[in-house]
Amino acid sequence: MSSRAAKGHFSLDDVHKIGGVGGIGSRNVVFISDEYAEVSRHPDGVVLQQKTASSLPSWVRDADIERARNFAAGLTTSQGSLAVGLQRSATVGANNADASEQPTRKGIAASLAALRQKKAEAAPKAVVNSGAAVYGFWQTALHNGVVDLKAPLTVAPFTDRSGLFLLTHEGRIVSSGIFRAGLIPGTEHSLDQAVVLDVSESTLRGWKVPSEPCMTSAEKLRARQRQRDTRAIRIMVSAVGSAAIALGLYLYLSSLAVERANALSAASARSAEIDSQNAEIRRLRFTSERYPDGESIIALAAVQQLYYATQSLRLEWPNILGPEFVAFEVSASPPVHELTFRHTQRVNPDGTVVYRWNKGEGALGASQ
Amino acid sequence: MKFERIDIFIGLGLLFVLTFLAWLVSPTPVAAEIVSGAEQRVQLSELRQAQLKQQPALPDLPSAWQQLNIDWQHCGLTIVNVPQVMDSEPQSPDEPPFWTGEVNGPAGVGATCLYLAFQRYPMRLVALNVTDDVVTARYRLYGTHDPIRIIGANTQ
Repeated sequence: MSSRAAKGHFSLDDVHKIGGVGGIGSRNVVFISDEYAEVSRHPDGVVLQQKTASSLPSWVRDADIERARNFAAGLTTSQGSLAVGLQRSATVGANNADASEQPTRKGIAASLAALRQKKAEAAPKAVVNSGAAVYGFWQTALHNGVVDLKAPLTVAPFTDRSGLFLLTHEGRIVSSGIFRAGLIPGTEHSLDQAVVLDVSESTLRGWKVPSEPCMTSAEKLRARQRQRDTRAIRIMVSAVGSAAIALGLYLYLSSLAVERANALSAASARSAEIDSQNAEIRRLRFTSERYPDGESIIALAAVQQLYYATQSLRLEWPNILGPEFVAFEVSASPPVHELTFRHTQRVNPDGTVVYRWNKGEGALGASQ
Repeated sequence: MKFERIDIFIGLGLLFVLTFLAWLVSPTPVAAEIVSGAEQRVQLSELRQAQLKQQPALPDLPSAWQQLNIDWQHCGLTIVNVPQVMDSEPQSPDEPPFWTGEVNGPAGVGATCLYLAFQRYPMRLVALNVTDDVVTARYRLYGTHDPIRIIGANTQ
């Protein structure tokens, strides 16, 4: 992935076609410089990534994002393009003006003219690239795991003397930015000691973009507002859905209660109706539980026995119906043989015997 | 759309609270066992009805009355003319229609004859007297009848 020798150059001007989120499809991407620092040096800095154990927070500039988008849409020149252009013109200027480090006024004009020319040439492509997404270069490189955090200095070269740098200290990212003229700010490490990323077009094409592209502070604000709105809608939908479910439950339980009450009522009514029918049927049937009538049979069987076992049997039962008549009682002489039904005997002073037996007791049984 | 955990908690909380309230205010259904028990009672009653319908019906009162009187005569019992009044109608809801009759005759044969008749006919003893070897029995003969045919039909 990386080495100390440059395996290609890239430019922040380029629109790279690289793998989409999750490796699905591909999309046009414009890289911008993302800066790792405690606080952004720019007033329009926006947090791209929060502070983690392995890095300081990273920042991007609203201006860079918009410029990159405009560049992709063919409206302007990107910051990187401008930087590289200036660098190139500086080199030309230095060669032409006695090895001076600063570009001359003439050199700058020439370089700006060249950039405008380049922009004009790129205009047809820009229409195609207008939907390009903007990502921080280091954000993407780290996402793809091509940066060795143990190396103190990693660079992604625009040219041999300029590019993006990433400084780490004991595996923790501490700084990043653009370097020019081979000078890397904020470190004693030289370009010779840097690990140079392979940023050839073919390598970049194999990368995958992170899930979150760069957003300007206004976009973030809108996103937050949208998120709040979405959340309110979501809660409202939850409330309506829950209410619908609760109403459904209420209606179900109510209908179940009504259904069961009706079923119980119908069953009770049907049961009562059948019981009533049964009582009427039982009343008019010759059922074994009613006929022959037990009390009558007991009385007649006992009288029959007593008549043949005694003499001068007398009895008078004017009305043996009803619950008040609980026992039969007759008067006769002592029996000439044993009586087989359950009864009691009481001998009167005149020698007659009173026989008594209960109405409901069986006619068969030992005498007492 | 990305769901946050708090959204899920709020949604679930709302769902729980509202469904709990719905459950709380909804009418409590009768237990299924009670309904099932009532339906079983209906089935048992229907079964009982089928059994009852297999039992023989009570005889037609005029016919049975006539046959019984013939039997009394065969036994040598005398039929006493009992004035039939409206009390021949059932006196309790489960009592079938009846006619009241009275016979008298020799105590031994009479008791035996009565005993046998009570086994054969749906009858009930109302009163019984035995004096001087004479038995007198008053009874009810149960059966079915058309109320219009009561008067005069049993006065033989």
